[in-house]
Amino acid sequence: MNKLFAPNQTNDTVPVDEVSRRASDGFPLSLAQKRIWSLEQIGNSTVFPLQVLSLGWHTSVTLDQLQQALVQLAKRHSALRTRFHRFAGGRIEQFSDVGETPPVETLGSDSNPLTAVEAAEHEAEFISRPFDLLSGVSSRCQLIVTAQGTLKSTIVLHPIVCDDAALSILQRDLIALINNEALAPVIDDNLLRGAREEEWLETNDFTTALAHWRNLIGEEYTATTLPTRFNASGYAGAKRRHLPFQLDATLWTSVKLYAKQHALRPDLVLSAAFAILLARYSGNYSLQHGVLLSNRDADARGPIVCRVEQILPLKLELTSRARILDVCHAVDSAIVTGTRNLVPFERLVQEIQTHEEREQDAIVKSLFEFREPRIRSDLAPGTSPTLAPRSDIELALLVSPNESSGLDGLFDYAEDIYEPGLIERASIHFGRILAQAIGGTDIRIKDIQFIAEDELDILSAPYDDEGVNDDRPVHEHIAAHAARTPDKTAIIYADEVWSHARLDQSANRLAHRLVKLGVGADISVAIAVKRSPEAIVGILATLKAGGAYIPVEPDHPTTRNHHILHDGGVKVILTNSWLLDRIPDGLDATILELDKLDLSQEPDTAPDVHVHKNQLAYIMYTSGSTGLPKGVAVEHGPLTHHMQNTSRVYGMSELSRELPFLPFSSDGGHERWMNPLMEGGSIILPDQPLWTPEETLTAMRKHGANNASIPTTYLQQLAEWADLTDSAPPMRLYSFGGEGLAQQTFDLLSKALKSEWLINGYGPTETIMTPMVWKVRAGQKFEGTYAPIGRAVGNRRVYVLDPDLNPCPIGVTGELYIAGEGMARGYIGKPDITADRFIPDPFSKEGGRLYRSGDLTRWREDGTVEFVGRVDHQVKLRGYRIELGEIEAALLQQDGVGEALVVLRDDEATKQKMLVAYVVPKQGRELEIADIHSALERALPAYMVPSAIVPLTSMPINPNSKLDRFALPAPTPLKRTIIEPQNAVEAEVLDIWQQILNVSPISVEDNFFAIGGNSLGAIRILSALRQRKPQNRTTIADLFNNPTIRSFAKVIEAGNDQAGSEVIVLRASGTKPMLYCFPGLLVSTREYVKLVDYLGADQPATGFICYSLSEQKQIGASVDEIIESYVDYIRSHSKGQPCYFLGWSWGGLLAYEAARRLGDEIDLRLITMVDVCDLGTEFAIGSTPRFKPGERAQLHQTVQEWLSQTAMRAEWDRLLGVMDADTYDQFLRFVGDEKDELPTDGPDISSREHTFWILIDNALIFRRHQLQPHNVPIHSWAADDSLNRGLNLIDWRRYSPRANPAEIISGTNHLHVIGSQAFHSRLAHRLNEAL
Amino acid sequence: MSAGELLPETWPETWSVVRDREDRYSVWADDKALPVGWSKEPISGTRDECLQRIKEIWIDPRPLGLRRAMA
Repeated sequence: MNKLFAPNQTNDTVPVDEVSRRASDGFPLSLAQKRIWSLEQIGNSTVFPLQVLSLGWHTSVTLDQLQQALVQLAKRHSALRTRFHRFAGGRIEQFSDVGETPPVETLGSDSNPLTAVEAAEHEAEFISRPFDLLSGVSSRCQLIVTAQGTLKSTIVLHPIVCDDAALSILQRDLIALINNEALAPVIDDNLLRGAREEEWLETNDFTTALAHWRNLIGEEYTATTLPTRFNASGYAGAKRRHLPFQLDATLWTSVKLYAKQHALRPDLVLSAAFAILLARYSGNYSLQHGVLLSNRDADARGPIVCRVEQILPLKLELTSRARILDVCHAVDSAIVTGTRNLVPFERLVQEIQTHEEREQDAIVKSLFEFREPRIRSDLAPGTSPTLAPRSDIELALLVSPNESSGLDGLFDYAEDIYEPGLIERASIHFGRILAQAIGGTDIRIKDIQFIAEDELDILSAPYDDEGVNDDRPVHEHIAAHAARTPDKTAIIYADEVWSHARLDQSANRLAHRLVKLGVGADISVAIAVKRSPEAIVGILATLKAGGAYIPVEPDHPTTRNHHILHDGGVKVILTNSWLLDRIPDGLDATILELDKLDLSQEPDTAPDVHVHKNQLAYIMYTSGSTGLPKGVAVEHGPLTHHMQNTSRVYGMSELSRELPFLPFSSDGGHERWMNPLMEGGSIILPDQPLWTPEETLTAMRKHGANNASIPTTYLQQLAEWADLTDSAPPMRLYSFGGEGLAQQTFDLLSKALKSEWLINGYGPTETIMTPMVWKVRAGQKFEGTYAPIGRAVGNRRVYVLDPDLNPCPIGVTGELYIAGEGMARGYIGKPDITADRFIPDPFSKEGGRLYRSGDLTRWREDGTVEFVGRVDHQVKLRGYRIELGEIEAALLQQDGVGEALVVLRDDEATKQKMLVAYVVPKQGRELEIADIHSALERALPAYMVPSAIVPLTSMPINPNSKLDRFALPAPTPLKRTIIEPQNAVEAEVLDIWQQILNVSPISVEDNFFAIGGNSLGAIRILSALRQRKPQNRTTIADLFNNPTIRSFAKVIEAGNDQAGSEVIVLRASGTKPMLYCFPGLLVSTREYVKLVDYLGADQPATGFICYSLSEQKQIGASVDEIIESYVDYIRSHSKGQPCYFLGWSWGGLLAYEAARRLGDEIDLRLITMVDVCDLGTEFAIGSTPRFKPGERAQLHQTVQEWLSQTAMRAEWDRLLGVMDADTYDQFLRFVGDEKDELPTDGPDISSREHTFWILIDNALIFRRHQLQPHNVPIHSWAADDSLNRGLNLIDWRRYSPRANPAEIISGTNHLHVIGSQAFHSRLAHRLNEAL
Repeated sequence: MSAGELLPETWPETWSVVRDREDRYSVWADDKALPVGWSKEPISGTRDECLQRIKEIWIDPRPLGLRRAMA
């Protein structure tokens, strides 16, 4: 057992009297307490809400009894009377006095009781009252006499002294005290926990335990949780939402019985059910989540009221085949191992999240907590409280037995991250897991059904369609119109107009010839002519002859076409004489040249051929990502039914005149000419593979089109053109498909195309043309990367299934399967691949097949399906699962990007995996790669932003017309034109840059920062320059403002202009109020660049040079002196103008002082404070350091020896020279507390010693500074890591009445918060509010 | 999530070749209830082995109904 929470009894127990003797001394806080204190400091009371024990008593309990019992309770538990003291500099200690009692307020009396409503009001007010921990004790009590003659007692404790299990102890003890029962003595060493923890963290035990977690969690991890909202990575606030639910007594009883049978604790079964819920919802069976450890079980010193609970991370490696019982055991053993290696969670997070450069995910995002039921005797029934929420984690499930022998459950989650509907369903599924899990010993995770049969029936259902299909094949439907309306137009093609009769008679004549050539059932005919009426005649003739047609695009690569002609076993090839050279030799097929064919002797009536429903209608070749194209064989029965259903969903009629733009090499292209002709309508067939948008719109207008079917990418161009020229004719319907469609594109289509209906079609060839559609009115909104692909059409069902073929809940990603009649027979000549992709349908009552699509999808709330990406298009990088399609969609939203592709590839230099994006510009456009990159940084989480974006003129295509991934070039550093220096100054600067930055060659127009320059490099460059040109006075600001060799050389030549030398122009233009950025301790203002980028072109920003880098730096300057130049600058540039301040780290103090000094001279809209803490407590005036005997002398000796060695002796002497005796003692204490040796690597600007020197110098500046109240609007943020470290963050509400509580930015620390995207989005939001 | 990533590990050891009323073939995991309309052939093994066997035995791709009609 861990020493931290169960110290060795023999040498560590503190007798009661010693505790009380030392009680007036202060004791340090534990890490958990420090975090709560920090949160309290920044005004956040939502993460750890107040702990409330509210009880209604039986009428037998009297007021006197209760009052007495409370006094006894306070005597027994120091948590009820803990006080806190802040020492000079901010160190906090806690102490308690045995004699003290918490304040008790009593309302009402027997003669004058409160009504129930009054009582509830008073109680609510009492509970919501904040604590002031610096002036009062840590708890308060309220007693209310109510009208029913019963008493209500409420004890409110600050979370810093109490957790939920502690409330149970209080309740039990209070009941015992009221009944005069003897309580076992308790050794309340509550206050010693912080010190013990501190000691323990120095031991080898800690090192060993930490190694366990480092090994277990590692650097690359994925914290498991439920699926999050679309775009949840953007603005995620702290708002919480609660979903309470109940599980009935029967279920809980069965769970307990199951647990007993298998010698398990019942809560382990609940915890296992939560793990299963996470696995099934995330699709990831390598779980990393958390359980709440009450840390009470092994407490030998008796039940003490204090905060000891903590989050324990669990890692479970499961598979869907794991038995429930195995999951229970896995959870149990993970808890046991974890407990044995317990490390305070705050510390663990710090130690694991050590990546400097990137934001890191929380270690635990989802948590399970089981709360033991509380003792309930003596309490009035029906008064048991609802589960108190817990908000210190993104998503928590709390479960506790309730009064009615069932379970109360509560999901407490971040509203901006999770969809309420999803959480509600998850709560239902949690119950279903439990109910099925206990059904037997061998139940496995995959056996559990989340979706009930009736729910699945609704989700999988096709579009409502009351119509009845007839069984006549497609060509007979078309022919019927030739008889009914022979003269009506069927096809418009360039100058040709074909009537229904002409089409039918031509097809009949050719059909007779085909029959003579032996064409019949399951015999294939190649249609090797371009898209034309002739091709349609060939297709109809083939069908009439009973054969199956295979479209072959003459323009497609020869190798592909030859493969099709061989593989498809064609007996007849219909082509043109001028295309003969494209037909391979050695085929056992008759070639008919349509332009030379004389069919005048053939009858123009239909041949007498009966077509069986299972006879093939066509074979369509599709290219897989690998290998040769496969022929998908489709039969007449499913085809004609599909076409009739589609007609109704699309609302086709004899009035339909459609422009089908899809190529004949795709099955969708055939659907769109067959459909209007089957209904007696007509088509406008384009005479070229591509028309310009102008030609297309002209044709539509000229021929009165009312429908159009167009590939998504082309439709986008068409809409852009229509939008620009306002030239779209009114249309009834556009249908499109073939690519994911982003909201932005959809909005454009809605706006520009003036169409009544829009249909987004989806479908693999294997399930016939367009088995799914999303049919909506223009203007529809959707959430998600791509537009929904809707529902099934006709006699089909669609299922989103996990790898075990279990239906996924709504919102959970799974593979799309399509079932029903509407699917192909299979792949020509490939029985094994057919059997692999077309599998038995487990959901059908009649028998049938299920086609596995390879597409990742999810069901949306409205039951339609959303496309997520390809199964093989998802990658894992640094622990993150990344859907490449999502990045591609973001790229396509950028102005000018026509095509985008993202791949994961190895960086040849570092051998590490990285994301590389390839982009092709739209026709006639040029791409600014840097702009696209920064736009992606705004749109995507950091881990999804590609490391490189490579512009291409076109995507490389292989002979199968598919993307050739192997031909994608590796990203190379941008080819730069090297511009040589043109004068001596430029040459000199170039020489220095090359030396300092160690980069070569450098062009005189390269940007300093783009080629790897940073603040330290800039300082070195300046000092090197000064050595060569002692008279030169250029400053670091000059370099930042003129970041190329050419521009910088000009400044040198011009001589120095002192004004503005502290100022960096981050963005000069923009209509919004100027944002002044105040720098932190050691950082330069360049760190603000990313932020300014995010805020956009309309936000001007100015930065000031970090004081430690400033030329004007003097020893012992005051804050007032430091801000002097900033204030002057702001006054001269923004007098009377609106502006914002931003202060990061100690820059916050500078910003605040500058604001105070400027007062009404400027119109300051908002100061934004980022992780501003009081500087180290060690140097505070009045804080007296403590030394062990002899320690001071020894430290003095150490310092003297060190001074004799360091090259910075002169600087140190100056600094130590301004210290008085007390300050020097503080310095010694500081040195003694440092873990590392005193550094001697100075005076280089990047050395540890220099940093140390700056730190001490700053401490001296600030120890003399006192913050004064000033009424100014302030909004502040704190980095999560700073809270975990218990940093002494400043509560600005103490100084300004217009300051807000701080918001927390998770996954980042003090140094990197400024670059955090989560921070950027929130800052932008607040600046807009203040505008 | 990644369906693709999970497939191979979660697929059970033994599969059978199955056939429907129209003589279409496929494969089915032995530990799952056989869907309506399908019957097991006496061929089992890994999923891949079963698919290889189907390559050998599924000679006529035509559904039974069509085969009879054309006979």
